[in-house]
Amino acid sequence: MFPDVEALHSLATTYRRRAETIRVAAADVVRDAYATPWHGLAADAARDAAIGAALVLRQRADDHDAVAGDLVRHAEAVAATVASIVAIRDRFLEIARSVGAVVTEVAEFAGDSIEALGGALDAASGAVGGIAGEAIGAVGDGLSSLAGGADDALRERIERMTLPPAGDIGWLQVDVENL
Amino acid sequence: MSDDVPLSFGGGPGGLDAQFSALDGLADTYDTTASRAVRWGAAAATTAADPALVHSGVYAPATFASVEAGLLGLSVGTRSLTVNAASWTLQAAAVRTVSTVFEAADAGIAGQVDAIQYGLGYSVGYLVGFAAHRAGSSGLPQPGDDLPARDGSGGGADGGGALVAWALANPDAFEALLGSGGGLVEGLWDASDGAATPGFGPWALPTTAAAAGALAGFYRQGTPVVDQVEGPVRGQAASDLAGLVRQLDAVSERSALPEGSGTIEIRRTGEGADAAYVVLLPGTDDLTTLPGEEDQDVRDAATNLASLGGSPTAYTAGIAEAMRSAGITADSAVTLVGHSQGGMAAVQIAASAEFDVAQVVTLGSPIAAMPAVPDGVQITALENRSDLVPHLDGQANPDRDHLLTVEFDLDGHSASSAHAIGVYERAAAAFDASDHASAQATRAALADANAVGDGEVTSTVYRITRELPPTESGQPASGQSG
Repeated sequence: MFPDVEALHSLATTYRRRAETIRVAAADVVRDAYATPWHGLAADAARDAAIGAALVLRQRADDHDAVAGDLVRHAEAVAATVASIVAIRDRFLEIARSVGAVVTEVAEFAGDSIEALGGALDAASGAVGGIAGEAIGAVGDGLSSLAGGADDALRERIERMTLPPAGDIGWLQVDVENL
Repeated sequence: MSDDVPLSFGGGPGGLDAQFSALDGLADTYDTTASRAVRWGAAAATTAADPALVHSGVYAPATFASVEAGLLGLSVGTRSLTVNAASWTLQAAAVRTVSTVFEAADAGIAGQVDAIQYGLGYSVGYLVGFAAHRAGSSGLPQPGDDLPARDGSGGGADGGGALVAWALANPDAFEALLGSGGGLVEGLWDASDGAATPGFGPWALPTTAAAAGALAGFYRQGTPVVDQVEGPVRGQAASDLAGLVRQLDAVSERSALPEGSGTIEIRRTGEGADAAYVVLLPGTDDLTTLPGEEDQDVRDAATNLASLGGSPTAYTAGIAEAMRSAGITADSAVTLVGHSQGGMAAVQIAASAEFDVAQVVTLGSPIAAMPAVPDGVQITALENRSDLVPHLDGQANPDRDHLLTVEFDLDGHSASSAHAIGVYERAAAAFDASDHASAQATRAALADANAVGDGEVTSTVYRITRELPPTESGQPASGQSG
């Protein structure tokens, strides 16, 4: 299951807007404190307290902006990881096609929590149910410099592999270059 | 064009009562900020467990950790929004405590002043009454007595001129003296039996209003008779407050004519559901009425005392009847403008809640102790410090959000000149030119109520007189006008 990068960007937008809302609220409450017709030492102390609390509120608004920035960076990092995963999988399938291997890849589960995914991987290790089989026709790709025997060995190795679902972080563990 | 009449403003939107409301409003703002901070903090905690965010963690663990750390900082810990929310809640409580203390102190001080004034008045009244009784006075009349049947113990005004001169020179002291009116009269009455028993007596008169009401018991109010004497006639609306006062002055001058006493005018702008009304109410026509001398003049001393005491009068009943006759309903927008006794009647009409009164303007009227008006009624009280009449209630107007008191000082060389409508017209012109926030707000409110403007009006003039039942001593039901 691919991570939802758009959702991360949407969260970032939410936090930027909330930062601005908080800044407006801090300004409004200080304005109201000064607009209240109240004079004397107690009034001055109360206004100082309001200014102090409003300053803290503005700092929390800055924190919201920081969280928004972190979310954007996280979204970009996640997108880069996903791109790597896609590249690795595409390269793997290309090699598998070149030697005519049938690829066994775990299908996506409906559950979207890590526990469910972990359970799915555990269940798929026995290659039971929900298997998406993919028969790859033997297509010479010019990449293998070996004779037919080497291709057979590679094909057999590929067909013994239990692969993670498309988009799964497990693809980062697949050593495509050393197949 | 207005001459430069310095005005001072009390009460109204800038007064103490409004300040207490503003403090409570500030506390509400702090509470709202606290609630929002709690929600923002909770939202951050919710985001930390967001499924999309959590799922993405394995794809970029380092950046995921930064995001989670930031979110947790917003929701928990010493720098969190939850802690900030608690700060606002504490501040709201502190502001409310201050507001409560201020209001209690204000009321407590007022209560102490009232108690001191009452005590002083009672002491003076008791001593004077006791001394008079020992000197052979026949004793003071009690409410319900048929005064014309008693021997003439007078109401001699020999000392009256000196009293007026002193009062004109010392208006604040005059008001303070009248502020003890309840204690003064109660002390006089308690002493009238000649027994040296201060503090024991049949009458409890804690306020000047109570004393006035008790004195009003010597008079008969009768029932109103309302006649339409002119109109409807088309005319021009007043463009400002000074214009309204000039129109009131014109009605008052009609009252001075033979067969003109008790005249009021009702002016209408617009038609049907959009109709708005201005009711112009002149003041006392006959100030010299003594008990038993009541006649068809409904605006007399009897009505003054009854209004001061907060009681309905034949004048207010007649005004209400005239308003109904003019087509004013409970939904009609109404502005009442009254001079002297007319101002008191205006407040009484507004307090009755029979009509939807938006604005009341009083000129030289003692309204400090008058009945409370419904929410939404705004009173603007012009008071000449040199005018004795507004002081007759014995206290300054309270500081209330809905009651704007505008004071000035003009023509204090005689009681009548200081009370004349012309003086109040000058003050109204200064009010129209004032850039004080309360003046601006009032002018806008009068325009919104269609009490002033540049359009046409339709005016109708009514005359209110009274019908009296026969007296016990056989006086006719309605006497000659005073």
